Amino acid sequence: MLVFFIRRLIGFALTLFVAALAIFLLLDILPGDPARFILGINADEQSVNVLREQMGLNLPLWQRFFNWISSLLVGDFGLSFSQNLPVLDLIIERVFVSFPLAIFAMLISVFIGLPIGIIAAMRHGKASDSVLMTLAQIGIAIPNFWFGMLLVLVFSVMISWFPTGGFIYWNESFFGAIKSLILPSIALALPQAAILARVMRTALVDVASADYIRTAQAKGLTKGQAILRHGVQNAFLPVLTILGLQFAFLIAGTIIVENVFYLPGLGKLIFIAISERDLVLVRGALIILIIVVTFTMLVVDLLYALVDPRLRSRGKA
Amino acid sequence: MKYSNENKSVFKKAWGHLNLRIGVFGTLIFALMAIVSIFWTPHDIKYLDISNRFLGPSAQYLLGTDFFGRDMLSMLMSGALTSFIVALVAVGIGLFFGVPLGLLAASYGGLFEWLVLRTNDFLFAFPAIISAIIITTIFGPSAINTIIAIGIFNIPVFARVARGGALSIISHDFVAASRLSGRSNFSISFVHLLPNIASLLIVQASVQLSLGILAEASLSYIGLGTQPPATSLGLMLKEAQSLFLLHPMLAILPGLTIIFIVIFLNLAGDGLRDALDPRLAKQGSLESAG
Amino acid sequence: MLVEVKNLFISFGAKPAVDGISFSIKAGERFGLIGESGSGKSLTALALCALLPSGAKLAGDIIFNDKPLPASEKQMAKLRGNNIGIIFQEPMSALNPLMKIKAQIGEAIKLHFPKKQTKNRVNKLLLEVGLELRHGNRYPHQLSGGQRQRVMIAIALAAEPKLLICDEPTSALDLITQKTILELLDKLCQDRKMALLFISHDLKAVASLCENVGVLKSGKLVEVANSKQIFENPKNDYTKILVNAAKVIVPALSDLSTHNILFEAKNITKVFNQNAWLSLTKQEPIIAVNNVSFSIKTSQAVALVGPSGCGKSTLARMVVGLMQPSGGRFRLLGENYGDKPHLDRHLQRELSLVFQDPYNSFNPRQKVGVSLAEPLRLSHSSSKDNKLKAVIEAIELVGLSPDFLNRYPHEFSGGQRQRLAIARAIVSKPALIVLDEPVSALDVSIRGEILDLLNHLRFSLGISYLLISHDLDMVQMICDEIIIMQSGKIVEKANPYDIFNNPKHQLTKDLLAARL
Repeated sequence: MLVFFIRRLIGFALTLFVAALAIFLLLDILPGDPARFILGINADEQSVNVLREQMGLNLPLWQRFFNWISSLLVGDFGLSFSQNLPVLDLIIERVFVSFPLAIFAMLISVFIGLPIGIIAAMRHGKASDSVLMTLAQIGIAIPNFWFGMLLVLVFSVMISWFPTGGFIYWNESFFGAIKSLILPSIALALPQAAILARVMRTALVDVASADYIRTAQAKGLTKGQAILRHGVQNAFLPVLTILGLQFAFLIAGTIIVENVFYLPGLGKLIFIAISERDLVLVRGALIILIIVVTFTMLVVDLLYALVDPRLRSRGKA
Repeated sequence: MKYSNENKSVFKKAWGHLNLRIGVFGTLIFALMAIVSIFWTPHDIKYLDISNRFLGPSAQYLLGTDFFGRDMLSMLMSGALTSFIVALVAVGIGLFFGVPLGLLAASYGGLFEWLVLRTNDFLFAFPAIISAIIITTIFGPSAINTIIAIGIFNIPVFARVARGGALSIISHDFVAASRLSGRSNFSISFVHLLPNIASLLIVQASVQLSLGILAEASLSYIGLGTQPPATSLGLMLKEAQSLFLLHPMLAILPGLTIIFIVIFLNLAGDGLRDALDPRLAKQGSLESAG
Repeated sequence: MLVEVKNLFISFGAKPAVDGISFSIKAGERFGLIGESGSGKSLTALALCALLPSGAKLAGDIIFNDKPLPASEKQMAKLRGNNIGIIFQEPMSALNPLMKIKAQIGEAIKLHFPKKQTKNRVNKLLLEVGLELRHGNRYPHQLSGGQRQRVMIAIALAAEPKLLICDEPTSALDLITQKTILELLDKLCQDRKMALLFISHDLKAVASLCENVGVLKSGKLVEVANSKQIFENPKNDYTKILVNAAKVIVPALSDLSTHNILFEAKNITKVFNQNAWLSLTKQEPIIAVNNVSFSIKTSQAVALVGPSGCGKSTLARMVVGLMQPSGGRFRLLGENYGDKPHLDRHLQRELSLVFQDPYNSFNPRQKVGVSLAEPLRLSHSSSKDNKLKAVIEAIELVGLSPDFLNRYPHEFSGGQRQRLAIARAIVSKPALIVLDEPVSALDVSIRGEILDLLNHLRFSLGISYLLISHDLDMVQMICDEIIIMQSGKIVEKANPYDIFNNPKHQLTKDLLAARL
């Protein structure tokens, strides 16, 4: 178990390192000189050069990468030259919008998706199964941001239960903040809930024909009891993988849904950074996103090992 | 001959499958409308007629007009074309790079397989939107970006499907028999493995196609994809963003078009899955694009 | 009567899989049901405990303890739990992989007895089926196949049933384990005065355990009689075929003293390094084959026999060049090999392999003609016409028509496929063919004809065989020499007569004793 844990941890660190390298190299080949961009077109050659020296832009490539990485490790993400603020502060402020949104969406998708999947599987082949799965089929096809627009149309314009957009910060009003995240998280959660329902159902239906379900029936359980006692825990393994992937996509999906509801989240920040060519900020935001996504995968791997004794005792992937 | 009969009955079963029939038929209708838009649309969408903007449906404009007075039906046809092309080329990229990687990883194993698997894990850490952000930062927004970003996302998906399928075939004795006949791993991959996983790949391609259409819509909607004067279903939604509270149809029509195309593609994919190989029916569609 | 089955029909769609069978089992009686794959024997067992897969249609009466089986699922589940114990074929998948053994046995107990007794009863059952108490704390994947089957038996016995149904309980196990499981079942039935319905394709296993036997063929019960009578005086033609197939006909040993040595293995060793790339922990390497030497003469048939995991399959794969030995050399037709990862083409041509499972030894997407011609790639000199001629010659030698070359593998039966596999093995006119369990995946009634074909080809073409098997009876019907392997080493080497009449090593004695 410990070996498994260490292996995964090393894999996690390695993935992050390669991702950081990739982002650094890709953004480094950008045309244009950031120093000149900051000082404006009219700046004279000498002051540009001084700034380049200050920003460390005249150092060789590998040294700049090394400097960047080592300052990342101590939590220094650099200074955003478009906002003139530390990148980390900017990101953290936005993270308190984006991450709660992703987490709410995850909760909604789990609480809707899993029960629907289980019910459909228990009624496999019956009319209610077909109805639920048709709904899921439609849910998967709906773009989350479009669904968000519909929600605004119905719940903000036609019956004004919720604001049409914007965000009330946590320190201003806790419930206001939650209220401004409700519609966005529902919009974000719907397609994921539909996918989850389908995966849960397929996994359960699949498990229902397993030999050990028959063994449980032979002990004197009915098919329904056998599936609940032995099927659900086994069917949860493939669902776990999907949950991990989903969280990654929800984090990425917030960038899109923020746009519908004019939320000041990470997505907004990234767009400002792109249009201002603020590389330090883009780099920092991307690294945060990738850390979260990779970390989710790591957690899923470890949960897997916790649930499945076969993985534990093998000690390797 | 007996085989052709058997083949026919498999085909019949496939077509007997209602999902598949509806899915393929529906997809074809939308694809046809998209293709027709290359040669002809009811109205010229390059022609802006501000005096006729925000019209409701009429005999002249079947689905009304948008904020520039362009015919909505024509816009949808031409937007669907962009969406289809982006999704198709992205699937092509995924197939072209992903399948050989997956096949060779399965047949060579060892360090090469390890590298492919790790690269796969790594690429999974980049949802399409993150690659799109990087690419846009470098080259500026365009439809090509969406293609590359979605394509990059498709590569590990196809590599994984191809490797998984190949691994289930490679343990069969006919592969060992072929090796004894002097075939190399490389030749085995394409002579024996590829034909046996073709149905798997077709099913996955239909799934990725529908995800590609959704992803194109998302990326264009946030301004990282298709740029005016070109149009796509996602771009139409972006342009409707500021107006949809007053003119909801501008957002609802392209949205419904996306939903229908995706549903039809998914139905076709599910139907194919059931018809081609009952074993595949077990695996749900696992990927999702953001 | 404990169980009465009257005029039972089971069908999927139009074609009946079980076609009007009737039999009965008295309390304490042991009844065997024998048949080949697709005969409907497993479905009959599942019908008895109302566990048929959905989509199966059932007609006829099943009467248990003078009452018809209840229709409600709840009552049926209760009846099953209280009165019927069931053991399935696949011990690998029949246990929940995520639950400890004692919890899985305990679950069956809790349904029938007060909760307080659970722990005691679990322990008692573990001991009764020949396991140790510590096995209760393990997960299924930490047990061997035989141990898992013992756990299944413990679960089946938990409610002290009146009837035990065993569906091919030993066919996934090796011979020695099979014997011990059969002995355990025998003892349990005696101790507990349980009735037994034993389902198998193996006539000898049924005869060793059951008083009465029913023979099933294509869903029909063609003969029911007591075991002794079935063996000594079968009435039905099909039963006769089965009985004959179970008899061992040992041919006279052929005189090979004048033949040259064709093939030699010298000090062959294979070590598997378990450490994955970049792994953190060092694991002990596994020595699969340990310093093995033997030789084969022209047109001699040598058998490698041993329990699963003894290294015989690894050795076979090295002989044909699918794997490279870690140490030692092979010598074929005066040339050494085994020092390079790949064999030279001209040597590869002299070696071929017939696989165990005829169902996956052909590419389903290729016409068999294409598959059969594949080994001819090794003789690049020959023209297309010559290749076709060679393929036609090979397919005729195995007794099939050249018309078959244009067909796809799924159109053939198991026996035909194995003939095709043999045709592919001889098409390049090799000097040595390795046969990996060539008949064990086939139905009993056609094993004989494949063995006859192999015998015939050996002498008419002058090919040598290296036969891999766990089945001593089968081996002595076609081999001149038997090599017994255990844990990667050769423990005994002799001709069949000496092996059977004068076994030296303990493993040889065990293998002989495990024969039924």
